[in-house]
Amino acid sequence: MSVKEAGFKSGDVLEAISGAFGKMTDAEKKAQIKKTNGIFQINIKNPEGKEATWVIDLKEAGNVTKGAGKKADVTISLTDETFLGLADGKVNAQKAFMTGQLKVKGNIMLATKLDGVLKASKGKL
Amino acid sequence: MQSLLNGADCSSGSNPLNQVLKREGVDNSLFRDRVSSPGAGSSSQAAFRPLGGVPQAAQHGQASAVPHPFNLSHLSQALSQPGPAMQMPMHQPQRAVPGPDMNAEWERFRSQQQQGQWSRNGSASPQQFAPSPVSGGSAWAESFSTGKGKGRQVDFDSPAHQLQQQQQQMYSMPPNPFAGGMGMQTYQPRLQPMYAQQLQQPTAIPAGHAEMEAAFEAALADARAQNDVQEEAEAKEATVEEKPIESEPEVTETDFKGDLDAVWESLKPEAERLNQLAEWEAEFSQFVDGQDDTFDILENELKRDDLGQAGLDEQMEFGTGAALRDEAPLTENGLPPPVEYQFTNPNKYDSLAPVAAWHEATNVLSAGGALSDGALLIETFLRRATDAEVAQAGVTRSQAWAVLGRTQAENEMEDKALAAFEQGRKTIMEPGADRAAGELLTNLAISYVNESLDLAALTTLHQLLQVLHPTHAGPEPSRSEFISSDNPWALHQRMTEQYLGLARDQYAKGGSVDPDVQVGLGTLYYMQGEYGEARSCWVAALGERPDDYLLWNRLGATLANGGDPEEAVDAYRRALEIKPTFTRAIANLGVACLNIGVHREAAEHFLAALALQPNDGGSSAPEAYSLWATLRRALVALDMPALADQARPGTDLNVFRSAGFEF
Repeated sequence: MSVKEAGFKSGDVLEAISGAFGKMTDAEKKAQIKKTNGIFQINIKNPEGKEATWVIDLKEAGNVTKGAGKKADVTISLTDETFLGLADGKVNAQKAFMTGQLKVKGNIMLATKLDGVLKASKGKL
Repeated sequence: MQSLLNGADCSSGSNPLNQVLKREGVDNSLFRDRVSSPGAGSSSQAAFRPLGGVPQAAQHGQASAVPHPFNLSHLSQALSQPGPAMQMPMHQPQRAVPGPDMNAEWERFRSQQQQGQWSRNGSASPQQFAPSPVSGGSAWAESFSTGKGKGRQVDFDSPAHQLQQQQQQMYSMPPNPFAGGMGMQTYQPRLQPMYAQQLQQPTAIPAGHAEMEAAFEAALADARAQNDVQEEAEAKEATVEEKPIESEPEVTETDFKGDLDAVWESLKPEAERLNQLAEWEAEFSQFVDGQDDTFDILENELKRDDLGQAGLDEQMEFGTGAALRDEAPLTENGLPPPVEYQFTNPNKYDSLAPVAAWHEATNVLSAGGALSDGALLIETFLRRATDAEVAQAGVTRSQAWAVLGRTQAENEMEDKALAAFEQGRKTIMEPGADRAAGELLTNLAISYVNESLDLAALTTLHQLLQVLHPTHAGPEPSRSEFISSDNPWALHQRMTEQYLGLARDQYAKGGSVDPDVQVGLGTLYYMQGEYGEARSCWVAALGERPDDYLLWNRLGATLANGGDPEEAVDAYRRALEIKPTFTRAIANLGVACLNIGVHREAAEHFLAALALQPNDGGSSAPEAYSLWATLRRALVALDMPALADQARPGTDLNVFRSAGFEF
């Protein structure tokens, strides 16, 4: 099921993340869940002022869904633009947070994992 | 190194940068417009000015004669008069037309840009570059008097660092750069390339922007005209603010037009402008790294309590912690529950005597043999050796665990690495074990970082300080400290400050760079997404240990995750020149290729990495999932869905060989 949303570029990124989850084997998904262990609710506002919500579940189901539903461990609110920047590495989450472009509610420790969730693949130190 | 610094080879006529230098004076004004909002004393200008001008001037006797790019005072003067406006091309700005309308336009633009800037600024740049005038002056002076950058002036001859050399050469084109302890004027040349290119580029300007453009031309001309008069006044301002201008030469080429465009773009909607500024800021922070004063700037950043906090309470909706639901194992120090290291069984080396196995492992690993074999040899040693045999082999158990963990990490087997490091950590307080402690704990922390276990990494980095530099350790990080803050990165910042304090003390005492401390710092910056700062730490550490392939890989991963996969490739290649069987660097190279968009190469790198790992069907190597998953992404991108379906743990790699992949 597509998680895209008209007027939100972030929807495409989330769709890609969702697709990646869909292609994982159960074992892979389990490893990813073990590593992240959190449910992220992402509230995104687009330039027109519309808001949309997605939930990235990396705790139980290992999927992405559109709309608020499950109780999230952490809620992250940001603009469409900031979200895209985070996903492609152009925006630093900490800096976005400092300037109020990214707001975090809930288990703030999970905010530090958002980067790893959004980036499809990262180099390892 | 010295030849780099005094820039002997920079003066050759063939150097294009030379030409570019001639544009001095012209270029600045444009960039000023772009980067900082106009008007002396405006808030955003202040944001880029770490020091009051006066103290700097006093401290740096030989201030730059070039008006520095952020000083806009002459611009505001120009604007307050009937401004001369000019025509294209831009580098003939002298023809002026009085233009009151332009002034109005300019004011409008100014205010807009100021807003945009400010909102951007709220991010890290003001913190980094705008220490309060009170503390700023001394910190700046200190950075020069102590020469913090020593370790960074490293002579790299790898392709990866040609670039860096170039930069250093560029710094040194004008009079004597770092040598005199006065870095100021040496930054200046960086501006020129950027401007000159801009100016030389045929600029297609939308008609709607004509007025704006004229306003810029006016400013430009004025800046030029006033250059001489203002030299003295502005000299004292030529300081840190110049730094943002530096960017990689290649960035300059590709993004430069972007910069210029950004000036006009800023008339477009807010989002667009923010985006541009974000790019600029990326260059900005990239620029900062590798500079002598990074330590001081960052320290100031960290010490400022007024920055980034303004309005934080209003902005944040934190609260109540109502949503705090526990993660599975909630330990106060963030460490995951201990896992016993699972030895491979059967192990083909079990027939060797333990001591012989250890020596063989050392040989295999130092001779560039297969990491999997090295790991098996150490496993059999650790599993079977008696205490007497351990002593006979000339190691301690914690050292052996440290080597095993490192080998597993190099082989892209993070879970096994973590288990091995944790086993080694248990014995780390034993007498004689501290020889291994630094390396073990550093590598353990880095493995936690790779696993996104930030608190565990911070705890481990703290333990490293406790063991080796107890006076700098500070309080132990804890989950309660972590979650009691509104800021998810507050604890990272505190630990960064501990390490910075240590680095500064070490420097003050011995004048040397401790690569281990730099690695700790680099890890902390990396965790915070401060890739520019992290990069300079790796570079500083590489200055002391140029053949440390782990460091080259870390540099590469930092560049790649910071959005520069092309440069990362060079760093990875350097790592692989030194250690051809370095699985992690091969896999990272694949990720970089994937992000660059060369999917076939990416797939082949992933396959090569998988081929180096022990092939036991993937059952005991959950970390290999990510390798398979990225391989699958590459195959999907190559439009090979059938093969992508087969890219799963346990698949025989010959399937891919017969499909034409070479690895």
